[in-house]
Amino acid sequence: MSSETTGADSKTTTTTTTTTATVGAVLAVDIGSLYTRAALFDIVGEEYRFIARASAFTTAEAPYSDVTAGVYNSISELEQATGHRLLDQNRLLMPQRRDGSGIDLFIATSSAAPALRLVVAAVSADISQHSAMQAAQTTYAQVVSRITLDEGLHAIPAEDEGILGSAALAWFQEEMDKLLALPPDVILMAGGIDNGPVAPLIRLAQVIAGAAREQGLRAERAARIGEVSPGMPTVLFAGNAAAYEAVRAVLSGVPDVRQLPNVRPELTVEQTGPAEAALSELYRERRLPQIPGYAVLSRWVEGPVVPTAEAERLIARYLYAYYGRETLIADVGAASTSLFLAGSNQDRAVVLGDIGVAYGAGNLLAERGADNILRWLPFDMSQQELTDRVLNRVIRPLTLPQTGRDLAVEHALAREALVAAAGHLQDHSTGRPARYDLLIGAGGLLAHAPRPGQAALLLLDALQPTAESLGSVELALDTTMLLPAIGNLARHQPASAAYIFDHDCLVWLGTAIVVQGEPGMGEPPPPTSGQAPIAVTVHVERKQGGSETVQVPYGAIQVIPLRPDERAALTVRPGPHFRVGGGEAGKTLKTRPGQEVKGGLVGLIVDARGRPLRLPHGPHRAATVRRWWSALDASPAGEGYGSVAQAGEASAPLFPSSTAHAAPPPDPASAEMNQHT
Amino acid sequence: MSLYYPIPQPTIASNVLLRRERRLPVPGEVLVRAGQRVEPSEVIAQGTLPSEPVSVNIAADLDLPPAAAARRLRVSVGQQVEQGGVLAQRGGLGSRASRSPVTGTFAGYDPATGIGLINTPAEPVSVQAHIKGIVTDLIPHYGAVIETPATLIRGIFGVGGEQHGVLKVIVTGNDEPVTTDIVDARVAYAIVLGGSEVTADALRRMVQLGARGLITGSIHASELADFLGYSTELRALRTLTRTHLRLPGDGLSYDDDRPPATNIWRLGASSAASNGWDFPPPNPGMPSPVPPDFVLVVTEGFGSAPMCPRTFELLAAYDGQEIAIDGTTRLRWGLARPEIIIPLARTTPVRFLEEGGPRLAVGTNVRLLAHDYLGQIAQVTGLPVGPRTADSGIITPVADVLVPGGQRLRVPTVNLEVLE
Repeated sequence: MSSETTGADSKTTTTTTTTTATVGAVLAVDIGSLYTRAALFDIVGEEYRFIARASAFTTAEAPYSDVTAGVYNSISELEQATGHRLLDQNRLLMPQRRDGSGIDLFIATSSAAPALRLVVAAVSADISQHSAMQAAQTTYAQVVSRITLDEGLHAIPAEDEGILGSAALAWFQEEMDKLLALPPDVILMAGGIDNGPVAPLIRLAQVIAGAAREQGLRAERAARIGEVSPGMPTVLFAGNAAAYEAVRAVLSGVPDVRQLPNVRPELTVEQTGPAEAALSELYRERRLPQIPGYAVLSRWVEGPVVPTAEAERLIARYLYAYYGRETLIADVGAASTSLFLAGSNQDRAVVLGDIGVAYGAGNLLAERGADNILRWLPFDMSQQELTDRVLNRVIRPLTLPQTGRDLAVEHALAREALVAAAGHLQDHSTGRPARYDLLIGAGGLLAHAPRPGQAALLLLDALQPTAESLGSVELALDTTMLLPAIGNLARHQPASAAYIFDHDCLVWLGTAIVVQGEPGMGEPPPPTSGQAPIAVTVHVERKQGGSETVQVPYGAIQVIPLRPDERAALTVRPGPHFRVGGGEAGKTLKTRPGQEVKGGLVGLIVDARGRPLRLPHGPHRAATVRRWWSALDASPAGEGYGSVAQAGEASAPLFPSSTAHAAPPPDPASAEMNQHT
Repeated sequence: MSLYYPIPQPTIASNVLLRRERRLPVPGEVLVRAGQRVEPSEVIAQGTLPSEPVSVNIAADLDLPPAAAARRLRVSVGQQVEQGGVLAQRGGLGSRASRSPVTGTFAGYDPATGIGLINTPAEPVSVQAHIKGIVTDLIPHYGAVIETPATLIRGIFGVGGEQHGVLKVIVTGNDEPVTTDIVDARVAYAIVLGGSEVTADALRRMVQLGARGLITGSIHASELADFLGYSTELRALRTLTRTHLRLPGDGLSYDDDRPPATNIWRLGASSAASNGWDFPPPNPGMPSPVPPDFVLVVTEGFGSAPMCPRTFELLAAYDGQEIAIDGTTRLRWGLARPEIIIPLARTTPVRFLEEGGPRLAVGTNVRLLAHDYLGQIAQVTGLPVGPRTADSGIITPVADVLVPGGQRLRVPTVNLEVLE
């Protein structure tokens, strides 16, 4: 595979051109909610490389009720694809034979287990709940409820803690009901700085103790009639350490209470790492073993079965640690949606365990509302039709888009799932958007996008990178769907994993220059007619020869052809009131010599739609979306959704094309564009 | 790829030997013997469900701190209480009482939280045969296995549990919707066969007239939500959804206090169902307006699709015959789809219901599962080798099919279901 498809820049990959593999062939499987994917890695010449990948349906459900059947099927597919013998009478050939057949290492990741039901119980909605939520959304969990001390209860003086007034009792009952409505597996308690007041945490503990006792009784009752109901929840205490003994006493009836370091030991200090690790551990303890066939699978594999999210997060961390790339990985799955951010003072994950495009589509619809999904479609559709389509996907999760219309709906779901996740990512920071200059799309939907432009536009629409650091963001796609396998391999063979990732994992979509700002101070979105102002002028000098200058109006997105094997020097000159990167409005940026931007399957994308994206309401909305899709050659196949030409005839153009090939304007204030290559 | 549908068994299987295990949730007494002929309503086994504790917030009822409320208790542990009976009372000005919501035994009071527990009496439980057939095996203390020659049709989702009754066809074709004007007294005690979609009003009319169930091709999500007692007022959706999850809302209140329709689609950890994937999920905070003995089985999906003609013709041929249906649907973690069982005469030649189902091959008839083609049958005209570009542009294993009317499609194989 050419170096252009590697995950890092060419200078740094030279440091890992040889491997330190201590084993031969490695088989890695990732068991998703719908598909089980098997990947084979082996030594080719002097290098450790990806050989092939195959997939089969996950067989967690009847009549199999055993995921090892799907694992076996995917390995059989892999055997057929490669001619490499991996199985002998239904058993894995281990260790690898002299003739090359078999494997030395078998590892597994999974996202197929049910999400943990989690309740966040915190003293303060602003501070402790905020930190607890950050920890809560790093593994496959669904925060089914949040409770915080309300004003009335909070105001009770510590010395009167034995007395509950009517307001407090009402609050107590309401919170109990809330906990029992969706009985949790885990309650994450947070609140207070270390050595702060103890009484508020005792109040929380009283609610939890009451609900836990009732939940335990209900579970006993269910067990007696052969039904399953969550038993007493595990309580993770990550609040004021001084309160632990008192809280433990209140929770004496709860058998599993674990003390963790405070998520907010001081007002200005946040430490969510231990709580994140504890939740991940609980997911492994409680949920992974619920996968049918887990016991057999765990005997086959070396080391534990690793949650897929954990393996993917490792890749983002690797990219920042080794290459200094501030990276965001976005994975849209059938049942879950994840974002993994690694960068300067940024190491965050958001895993929405119940939001996805198949099993999780109903939750997405409930959470975000039909209108938020409909806004992404390049045609109009009623809420009723959307709801019917989404629910048909939920009840038949294995079906794939049959028409262009189906594909557009599926991509709209993916956009909104990522919007939901990105909202949590932003919440965790200090209100500033996440910073990254490398954006990697993962998961089956993105990997199987029929056109590269569809994947690129989906990522840009949903995540709306601001490219604050560099002015541009590189877009890549895990088309081989190897991220979980490589992340897991890194636990066993880090150097080999890094080498495979650099050489075999990613496909480059291109580089996006992001223009921010509006014409005039706080003016509304551009008019639906008339000439939109030029937001940016981009002069492109291709390394292989040839140059062009492109002007892109505000509200438009445009592609300048730049093949994956091409690089180009850029001069980016924003118009008045517009800026690129963290610079001032109107300030010109240039790439440094030797750090020309990289092309890709889509090319060089100039996104002058502003941040946040503003979609017009009414009949112009669909026309605008169609224009964006058309600009990136992302229009779905078929005639079901209407063509761009028809759109132009149907309504006045929003932003009449003022794109022109012109001489570069003078450059009064230029700065170097610190562009990664 | 080795499968193309989650249940690798035929969704329409005629003349098969069907075996169904009927068992109690708790040990009890089995009332039938091996070789015995049973009718659908015949009790196979019976037992007793243990009591269930019910909690009452006595302190809140009295508006007193828990410790103070403990001194106002009027019942002692182990004492029998009647529904509506006084558990605790506070006299004087602002007198209040805490009453038992159920008949049972007072089990205790927690002075820390102010909550009292009442154990309800044990309840009898029984399991019926559900289908007409022969008892072939006994399950000691739990039930029996019943066998019958039958035609089996699987639906895609349903509402309610098991039901049996005489099949009544009230439409003239698989593409005719069921509306209130065609629902009349004929549906009483019957399991009704519809065609394409059905409205919430028509379903309510059937319930009023005593119908036992409906088999329909499709239903709009909004109609189902309406029938199940959810609010379909769009303005209420977001706020009530937020209220459900106790998220910060917009502070507005709405007159319609029914839960929002979108709650029906919350599944997994977000659902109140014990395993999270019962569909539609139950809403414990809301009494269902649908009587528990009314069963809905949907064969195609959401929308206004006609019933698959093969399914409709097969069912319509048994108009007036006793059939059994089960609306139980679970999408994950114990996958269950609704089913329709038509018991056949014992002399009917039958075959075993084999796992694996029929194979996809050129010339076979298939059901189309994509939204725009639900309810349609096509014939496979080609099976290109390896992944190819489907009509949507995605690259995946595909089949070329011919739809009646002459339309040719290139369809992902996962969007097909092979008919026998």
